[in-house]
Amino acid sequence: MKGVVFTGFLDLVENNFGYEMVDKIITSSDLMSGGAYTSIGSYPHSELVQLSAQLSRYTEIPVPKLMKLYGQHFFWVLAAQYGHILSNVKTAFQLLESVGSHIEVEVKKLYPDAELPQLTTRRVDDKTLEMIYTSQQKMVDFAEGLIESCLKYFDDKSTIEKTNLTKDGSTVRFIITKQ
Amino acid sequence: MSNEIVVLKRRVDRERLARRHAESILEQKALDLYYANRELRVLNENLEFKISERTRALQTSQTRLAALISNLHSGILVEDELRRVVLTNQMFSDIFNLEMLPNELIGMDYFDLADDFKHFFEHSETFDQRVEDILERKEAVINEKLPLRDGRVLERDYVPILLDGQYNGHLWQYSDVTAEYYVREDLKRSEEKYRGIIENMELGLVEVDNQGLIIRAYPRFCKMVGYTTDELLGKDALSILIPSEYYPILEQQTEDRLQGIGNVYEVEMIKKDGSRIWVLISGAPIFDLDGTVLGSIGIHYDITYQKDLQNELEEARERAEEAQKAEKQFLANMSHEIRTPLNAIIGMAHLLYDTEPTTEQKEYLSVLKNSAEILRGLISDVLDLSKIRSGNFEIQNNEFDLGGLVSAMVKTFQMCHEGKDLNVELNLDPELQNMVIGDDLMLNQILINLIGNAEKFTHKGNITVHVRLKSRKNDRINVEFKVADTGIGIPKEKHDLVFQSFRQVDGDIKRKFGGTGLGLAITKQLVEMQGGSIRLKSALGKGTTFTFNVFYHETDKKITTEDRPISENDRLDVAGYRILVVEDNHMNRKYISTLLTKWQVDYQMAHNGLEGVELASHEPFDLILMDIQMPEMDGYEATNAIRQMVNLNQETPIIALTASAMVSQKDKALLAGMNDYLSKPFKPSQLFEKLKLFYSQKPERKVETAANTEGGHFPAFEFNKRLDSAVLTEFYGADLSYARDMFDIFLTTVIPEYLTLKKEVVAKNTAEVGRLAHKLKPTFAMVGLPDLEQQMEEIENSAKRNDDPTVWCTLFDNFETHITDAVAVVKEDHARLLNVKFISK
Repeated sequence: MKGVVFTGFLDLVENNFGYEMVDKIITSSDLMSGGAYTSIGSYPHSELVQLSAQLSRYTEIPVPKLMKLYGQHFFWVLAAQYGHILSNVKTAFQLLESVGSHIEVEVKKLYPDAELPQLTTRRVDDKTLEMIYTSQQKMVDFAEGLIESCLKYFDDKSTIEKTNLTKDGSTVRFIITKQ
Repeated sequence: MSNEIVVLKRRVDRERLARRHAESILEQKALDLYYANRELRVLNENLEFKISERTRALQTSQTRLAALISNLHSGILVEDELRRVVLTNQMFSDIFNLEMLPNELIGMDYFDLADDFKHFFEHSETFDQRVEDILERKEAVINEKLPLRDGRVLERDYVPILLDGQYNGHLWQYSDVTAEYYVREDLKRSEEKYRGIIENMELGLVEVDNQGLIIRAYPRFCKMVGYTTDELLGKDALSILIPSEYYPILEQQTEDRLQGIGNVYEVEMIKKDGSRIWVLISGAPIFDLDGTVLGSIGIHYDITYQKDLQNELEEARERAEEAQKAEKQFLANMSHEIRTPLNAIIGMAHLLYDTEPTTEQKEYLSVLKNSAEILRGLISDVLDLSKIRSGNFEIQNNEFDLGGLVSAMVKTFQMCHEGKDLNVELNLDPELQNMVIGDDLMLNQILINLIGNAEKFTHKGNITVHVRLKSRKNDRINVEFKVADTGIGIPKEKHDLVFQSFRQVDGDIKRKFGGTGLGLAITKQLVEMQGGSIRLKSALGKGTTFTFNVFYHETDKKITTEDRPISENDRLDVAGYRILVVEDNHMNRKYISTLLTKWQVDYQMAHNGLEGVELASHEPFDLILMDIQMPEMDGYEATNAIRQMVNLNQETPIIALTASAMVSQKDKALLAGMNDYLSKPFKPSQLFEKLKLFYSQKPERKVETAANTEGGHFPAFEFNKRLDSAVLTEFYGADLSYARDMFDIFLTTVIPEYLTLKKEVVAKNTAEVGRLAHKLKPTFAMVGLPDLEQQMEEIENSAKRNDDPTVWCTLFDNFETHITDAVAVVKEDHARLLNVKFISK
């Protein structure tokens, strides 16, 4: 998993709960990296799982909610850093559709070792977009947060309906419907 | 330390650790970048090298292409899709006299350039339109002929240039074909010229393709067959013009034509009006420039007139041949009719010499004999000549002793001149020791003619016959004969006449020496028929030498003295020989029987074929002489009967006695199973030679000599006074056994026939009476009853005159009153003759 996900996550924890909370979840986790992350590095996904589990323990906020919040926040991190991508896109549907094709290809160019989720989209009708998410990292809540921020960015009032297609949650369908 | 500081310290440691981690990542990335750059540089260098190589190859091929195009013997103009000149060559500028160099033309607009050259074309006004049409279609056009105003002829090719199916411009190629064009035109013109000439020569020309369809018909041909050109074009020549019976010939011709073979043949053709003409066709294949057969041309010549003429000639020839056949038949008949009585005249003349004639009678006899012989010679010569001319004279291939034949011939002449002033000599080449194969009879005749001729003109002196082997090649020998005399000779200026028919050196000769003037003409023909030649050397008063040569096949067989024919001096050697003579003619019978008696040859007589066959079935003979034309059963049938039946004479040699000298009759005789032939009339010596020939061939000679009067004699015998002893003595002399046989024959065969005659008389059968009387007539003289012979002749004459039957019935009654007594006397004397004993010496 890319280092930017870890640095973004710890920045969010520090901003909301102070560095003490950051230190607390790091020291209470057993981390190979010792909790020292740089955005250009890559780290095991299990470390994010441990950190988010420790944060949930200390804050008593469930992990899915934490991951969704982190997804909402991370969209803005990305938007700041890769603003040129957003400038060419006019609607939320367009952006979501381009993730599976265009953006993924661009990411692979920069980070050949990046492990990306598999995303396919389909326009059910003018107002409905179906998106199938498949990933072993099971970051589905994180993804939902990203979609919510995306809609917010384009001032889109669409609703999101989430259905698990597998028991373990590795494949999930999102139906995004415009109001 | 407060908790805050501890946390802060940990935070700093984490930040430092993260920074170091980031630094090491960056360092790694920088190193990766360095290697990537280095690799990139190498790739770049390789790429540059490849590009320069490709560029060089491209330049080389471009140079080659440019050289090729500039050296082409055609003007090239390549335009791009916008019709700008891309490429051209010097030849293009040369063809159109352009002042600009090829390089200077590149980039020019075609329309500007066209203004500079299109005025060269004879049809410049349509030039642009044609170019537009071609470009519109964008399909290749080749070998388009474009005449120029200055007399040149160009050939233009248009090739569109397509790259990946995309039109990219086009290529024009202009070639100067003036020379070829004019050669072709000249050729066409000269062909037309010769066709015109042939047409004027009354020869009809027509051209057909390989399917036999008419592609061109010339006026003369159309006139010949009566069609117009339009009626013929495209039609199948065979079905419209040729009668179906000639299809096989024409099909063969078509096959030949496809193989490039020409031919001349004759067929009939059907004209439009249905009539037919005969044509002589000279057919030849038509080739294109590559030698492929396109069809054929036929030159027709009307030969109807010639064909008609030919048919008329053929008919005339057939008529002439028929006439010739009739003539031959006439000759054969004449031969028979003339020779038969002549034979008797000569034979009788010979016999008369033996009847002790007076000097005066001898003189008359010699005139009679000479005249008869001249007549016979004349007939023989005329017949021989006609035989030679009609091709009926055949060359025989007999094995014979050449030296022996010439020796015997010379000996015969020697004997004739014994005691006279004329010597006949032989000079024989000792090299000629083997039997040869050739025509002995012809050689005989040639020698008789030449020696006889020499004899005629040489009263005193010598006749020398030279025979020498001139050359030998394998088994083929060339023998030269010379007959030289010391006679009166022939003047030089008359030499040419010698070998001509019916010509003699002068009229005086004919009066003095006689002859038909045919002998030497025949001799020359006989020599030439055998592949030889004859020439003459002579001068007046210096004698004459005839030289001729004949080719023979030499056998391996050496001649021994036994092979030599025995001469007439050896006559005793044939005695004891037993012969059957089958002959219906009384006089011939008598002639033969007398000769045989003289030579002491025992014989039996048969009066016709039937009787001959009957006799042959009872006792064995050494030889049979068989006449051909006989009543009851002719010689061919009789021979056939003897050869077919198992009898004592099945293998006995039979000699045909033919009255005709025609080859066909001789062939027929041999075919019927006879062994040889003798043509009548014959001289005693000729018969004797035949007897000797067959006698010498006989494996064993008879020991018993039944009537050898030389070896002893019969006692004196007096015939009954009723019988004419003078006639009987004339017939039998002292040979009583001969008389006994004749009496025997008379009693056993003549009497039954007499009874038959009697029956026919009663039946008043005129024709049979005449025939039987004729047959019986001569037999009475043989038993000494010439008066009855006379009476029988009267009966015959009366019957043959078709007298009223009462006339010859009366004659027969008169005859009957005498016959009974006469037969009794004959019987009596026959019994007495049986008791007569031969007294040996």
